[in-house]
Amino acid sequence: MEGGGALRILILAPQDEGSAGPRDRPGLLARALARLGPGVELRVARGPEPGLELGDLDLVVVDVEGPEGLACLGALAPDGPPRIAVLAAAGDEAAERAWRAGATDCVVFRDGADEALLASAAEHVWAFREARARARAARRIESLEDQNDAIVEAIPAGLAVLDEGLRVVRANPTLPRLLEMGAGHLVGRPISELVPAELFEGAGVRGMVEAALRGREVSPRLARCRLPGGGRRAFEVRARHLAAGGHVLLLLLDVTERERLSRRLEAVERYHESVLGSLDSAVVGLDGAGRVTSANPAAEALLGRSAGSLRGRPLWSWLASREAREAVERALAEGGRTRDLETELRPPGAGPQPVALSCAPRVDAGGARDGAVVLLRDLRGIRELQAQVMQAEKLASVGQLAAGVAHEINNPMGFIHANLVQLAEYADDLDRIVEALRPLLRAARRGTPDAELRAAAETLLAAWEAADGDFLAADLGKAVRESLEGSDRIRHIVRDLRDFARRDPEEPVPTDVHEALDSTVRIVSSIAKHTVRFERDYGELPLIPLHPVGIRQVFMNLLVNAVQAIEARREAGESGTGCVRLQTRHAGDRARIRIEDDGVGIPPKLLDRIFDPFFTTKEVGSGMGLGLSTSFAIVRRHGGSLRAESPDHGGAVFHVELPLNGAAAGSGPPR
Amino acid sequence: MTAGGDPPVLLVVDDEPHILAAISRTLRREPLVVVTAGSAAEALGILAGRRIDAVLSDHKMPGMDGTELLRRVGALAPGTARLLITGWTADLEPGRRDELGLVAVIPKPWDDAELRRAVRSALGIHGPAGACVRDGL
Repeated sequence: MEGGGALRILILAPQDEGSAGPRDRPGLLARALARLGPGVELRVARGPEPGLELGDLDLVVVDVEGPEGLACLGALAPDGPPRIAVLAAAGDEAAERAWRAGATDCVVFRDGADEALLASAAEHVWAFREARARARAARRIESLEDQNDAIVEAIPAGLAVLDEGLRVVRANPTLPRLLEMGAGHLVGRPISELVPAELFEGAGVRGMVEAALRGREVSPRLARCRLPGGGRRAFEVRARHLAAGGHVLLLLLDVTERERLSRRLEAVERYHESVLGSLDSAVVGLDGAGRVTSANPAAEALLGRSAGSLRGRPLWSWLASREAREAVERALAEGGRTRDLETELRPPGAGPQPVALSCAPRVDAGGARDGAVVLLRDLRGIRELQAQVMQAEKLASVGQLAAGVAHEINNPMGFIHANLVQLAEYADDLDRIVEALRPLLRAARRGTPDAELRAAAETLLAAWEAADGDFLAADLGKAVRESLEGSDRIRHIVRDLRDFARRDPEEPVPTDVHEALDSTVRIVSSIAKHTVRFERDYGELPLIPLHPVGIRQVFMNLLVNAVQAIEARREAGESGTGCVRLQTRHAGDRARIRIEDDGVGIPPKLLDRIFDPFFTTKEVGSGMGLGLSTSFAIVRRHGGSLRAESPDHGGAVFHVELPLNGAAAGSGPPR
Repeated sequence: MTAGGDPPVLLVVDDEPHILAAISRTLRREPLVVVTAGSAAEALGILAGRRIDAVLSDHKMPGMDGTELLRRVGALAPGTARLLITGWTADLEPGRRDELGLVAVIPKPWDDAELRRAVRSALGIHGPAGACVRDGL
């Protein structure tokens, strides 16, 4: 018997108890059945012993030569393997008993005549195996159908099988739920009654179903409709021809939420893109190795390359300073953040560009580090603005000084002008004296008689007296010298102001700090001539590479503050002149400049804030409050430091430190 | 204003000697005597020692300033005409001029003719210029 594996046969021979010899029927049966083939496994038992497993048997052969055999046969389950009753001799009565006891077949077996047994065994084993295979297949189909039903019921898509008349043959429970139809009976109803017309007719679902019925391939479609409950939903609709039965499968998947999410995602992406696109700052995304993954339009403009050509390149190559490269590395390796690090970009083929670099690690949805985002703010505009603000602030302080300076110029202008008016009169007087002198000179030259000479001398003397000649002689030179001195004073004031108000050269120039201090003191003392004394204690300082106007502006701001602090103290009722002490020292590779006043001082809680932009304690109109912050910026860009203290005994001390080599002087003038 | 035919006396006060010299020059042909002082303290000393018909003082001076000097002059000798010369006319609060009884406030730099007019008017001098009386120089 092919294809069925081993052929397992049980021989039951109960009547044979105790007997042996020539009537060994079980042995004869076994020998005969062994002829069925090499795969036959035979077992012999005396009866249906307890625990006898029949399930894997293909055939039971029962010797029914006695009543025990019949009983044995009767005990076998009728739905088990086929049971062949073996008779010793043909006899209707014995056969009848065997049939009644449940035999599948009844054969006569004698030693040497086993054909009938073999034929019966072969036939019934085959039939049994067929039936068993069919039963297994049926069970398998049943279980598959069960699974299928479970899937069809559980699937979140609405399913309906439709016949040629577009009537529902079958539908899963999801369908009515999706369409908010209630739990009525669906089978047999036209699908057009179940699906909203907006969907079925309006959105073309009917067309899809009819095309599928004709066996056409139909592509899925997105359709929207309003449901009985009032809500609008979006469905993905599919229709598929089912070969069996000429039916069509209609599938509705509710994609409203998916659509909403994808629209939101799209909106978020568009927003993201438009934000990045409209940012003035360059935003560059980096992968874990520091290679560019994305770049917004500002980054393209700043780096002079398209996002496409930036992608995959390491950002390092554009970062000029080690500090900036380390900031990016820190973000990538440790998740460190950096804010507004002022550095320079070196795009290939372009000059260095000042930028403020901010850097933060990028984190994926799982919270793991995933590269970094680098933000580069172009500082060129800000630098220009800074320069303008500094210039404006400087001019504002010039404005503050203007009145004082005007007074300084007024005095010499006053006496110079008055002297010139008088000198013009002196010249007229001298003319008259010279006129009177001429006849005397002529007379003397010609050897004129004494009387005539005396007369001429009398005339001259009269003219001398009339013009107050003695006074003229004494005062003429004095008036000229005083006027010269006055014009010199004006010249110096104007020169000091001009030094202060002009713009700095691009490169630092060797500058005499003492000269800068002195010329600033000259300007400032004009507003505080009678109330403030300036004391100098200068050490030895070399020429220092500085932006001279910027440094003068720092001194100006500090000195004006000192004078105002002293005036504030006087206004508070204290009398006496104040004092500003200027001290310079050479300390290592730095110049230390100390400016101390005995004014009102700075409250300790304000010491931290006085260098903040727009911080001012002065009245509105006295300045923008940028003086100290501007000074701070200028000194810092020279690589120096500026700090303030307010000693317990009153007054304030400002310390300026400047590097002597000027190496740290920043690029470009602080103007 | 002048007694016994003596020319009137003007006291000019300024901490700037060149100003004193220049004002003296300007007034050298006026019929008056110019006396000068380099500070308010010196001026008060002179006022205590001799007849002064008018005081012309600078405003900003170390120590006592011009308005304070003129206030004191007004208190000590109300009959003395008081004139202020200043580069800071804006510094003089409105009403202060009347309060101090100033007959003139002359801006610096000054106009010679205006200065002469103000001084003459303060001293009650009429008639042509040129009748020169000199004492101070």
